[in-house]
Amino acid sequence: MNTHDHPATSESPSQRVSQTRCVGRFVIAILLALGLAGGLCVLIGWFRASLNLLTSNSRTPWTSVNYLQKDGTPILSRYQNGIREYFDLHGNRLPGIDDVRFWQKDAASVLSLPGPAERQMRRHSRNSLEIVSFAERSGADSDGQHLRYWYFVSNVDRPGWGYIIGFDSITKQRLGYFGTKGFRKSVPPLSEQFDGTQSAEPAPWGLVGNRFAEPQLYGAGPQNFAAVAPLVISGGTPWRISFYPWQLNKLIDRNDVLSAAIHFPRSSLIGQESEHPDKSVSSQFVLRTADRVLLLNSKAEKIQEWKLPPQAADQASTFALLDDETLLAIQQRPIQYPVSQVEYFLTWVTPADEVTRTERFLVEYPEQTMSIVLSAMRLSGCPLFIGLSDGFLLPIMSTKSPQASYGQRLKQLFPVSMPWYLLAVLSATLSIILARRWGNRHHVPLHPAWTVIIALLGIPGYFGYRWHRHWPPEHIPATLELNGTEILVPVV
Amino acid sequence: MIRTLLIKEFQELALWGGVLLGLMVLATINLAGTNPFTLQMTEEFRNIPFASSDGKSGLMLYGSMAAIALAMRQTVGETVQGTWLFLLHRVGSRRRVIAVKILSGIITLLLVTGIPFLGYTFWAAAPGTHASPFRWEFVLPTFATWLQLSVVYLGAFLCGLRNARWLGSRLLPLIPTFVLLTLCSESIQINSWVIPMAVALAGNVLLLTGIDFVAETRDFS
Repeated sequence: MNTHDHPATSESPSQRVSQTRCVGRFVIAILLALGLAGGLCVLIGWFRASLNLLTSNSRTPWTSVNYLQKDGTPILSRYQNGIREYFDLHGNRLPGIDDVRFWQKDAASVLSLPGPAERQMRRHSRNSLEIVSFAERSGADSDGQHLRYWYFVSNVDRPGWGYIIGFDSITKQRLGYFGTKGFRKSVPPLSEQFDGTQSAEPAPWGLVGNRFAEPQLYGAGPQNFAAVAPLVISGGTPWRISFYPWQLNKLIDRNDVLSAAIHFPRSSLIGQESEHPDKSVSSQFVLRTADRVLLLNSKAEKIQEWKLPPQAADQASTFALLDDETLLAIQQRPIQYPVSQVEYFLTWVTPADEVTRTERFLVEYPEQTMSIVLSAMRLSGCPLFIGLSDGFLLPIMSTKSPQASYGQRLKQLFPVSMPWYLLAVLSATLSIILARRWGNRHHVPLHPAWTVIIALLGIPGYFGYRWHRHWPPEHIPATLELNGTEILVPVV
Repeated sequence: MIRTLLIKEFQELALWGGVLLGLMVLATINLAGTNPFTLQMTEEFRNIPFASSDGKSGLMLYGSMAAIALAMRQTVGETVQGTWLFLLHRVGSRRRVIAVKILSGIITLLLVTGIPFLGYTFWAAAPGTHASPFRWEFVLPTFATWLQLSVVYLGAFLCGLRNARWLGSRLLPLIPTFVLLTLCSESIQINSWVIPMAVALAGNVLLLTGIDFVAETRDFS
């Protein structure tokens, strides 16, 4: 192209090629640096995870409060190498407990009943595509293996709302739908869909009951499956689905229910063995409102009610019903993020709304995956990664002060992150010095844009700068348009 | 010339593409709850097509492997055969030759991964094939992931084109492209797909810039 075609101020083709190459250089260097930093992260993470695995036997066990002794005293448990072990609060091992029998007969299980804090959190994180399924065995099928699958399908346009749809597992044909007006053969209109926006359950619709794995877990046979029929919380009202026939009934006339659970009293489980799943068990319903926990029998008659003290009402998300009709509210709070210690706060509440006992203790946790990821990002020596881990991921994931803003969290975590910020500055400075020395050795001054890129990427950035081209730099013509005679150059 | 180059590329990719397509079909049949060798339904099929993440994860894994295989065939294949100089001394710029290679590679990749994906979609949409719900909106995240596979293809193409040691820095660009694909794919939701797609597109543009730089400056002799 003739250069006279362009005004004097416009770029020549060679300048444009040069600029494209400049951007290309940066892209290659950045890709190499990010690849190196990412590879280092993987290596460091793998090394730390392997080290944790090798030293896990001598380390503080992973523990959780999932079980309680008959009097409500918590039992710590850890699951390692296929074996579950139990400890008292002082870390002493409780020997001779068979897992399933112990769980069913000798200890109260902990019920998950999320409350206002979880509802607030989930209100902003509802996914428009969430499906939770549960199975119902067909009463007509003698072998008990003929399952009907029921799914809650959330509404794409109105997150948190949705309907239930059923399928036959053998014919794979659609059975029909459930909306707030009961069973129907077509998709319920919006006005008849369930409103799960008030629910604090992990699934927007607040569905509880028997899911796929639970029939075996509860040892419930085909004939008592109706006893564990699922609940749907819609607009704060719990509805119970009945499959014989397909009906929807209001469990209790309330509109302030946040979550619900199915409870099996220990007395009903005594005599049950996991190998004999056909014995009948009687289930109870436990409902959670903002400040109360209600226990209903299988006929939905209220048996008991507890008023929660303010702190437990706000923070507790798991509960246990003890033999003496006491309710145990369990609060847990991570001490720091990534979690290495969790503080448990237990409150025993009587039906007369009296707090009879409280207990507070710390439980050690092993290094979490996210913790390994964060430390790998820090140790990669890449200021960009350090900024990402300590300036972004850590504050948004921190559970220390759930109500604090991002800025406040950043300020709170600054003392923890300070050494890593210093490492970032050190890495940036060192990499710039090295790059300058490398450039001087090859008579190539370091362009300000390179300085910024290397400062952001640190030591990996320096290597990206070195590896992106051959050194010493060769003069490359502005255009490499070929005319077909270059192949003859060696001959000539 | 472009037509000739395209035909040459498709001919070279036909065998690899056919093998990869076969493997993808087997993986898809398995995903649909059927043993691909006996064609018997597996008893414990509980996967909800497109609603559970199996399909998307499978596409990401197998699609990435296919992308790397095709890109390496197109770049390292020329190096091994010593045909770069012959290819680049056609009537036309380097940029055009490389662009034709990339175009043919991406088309092959989208076909190899898209045919099983399309088959799985129609299977999932057909009534009576599985005992779980299906809605067309469910397909969107997997569809977006399918389009985003080009990021890994371009990353692998850059690795193959760039002259470096295999045990040195050659494969490093693959790591950020994998991370980019994972982030973009995982962040796609039915109602929020624009930003992840824009990020993936920006990644494609950057990788193309890098490929252009390497193609223009590499000494192929």
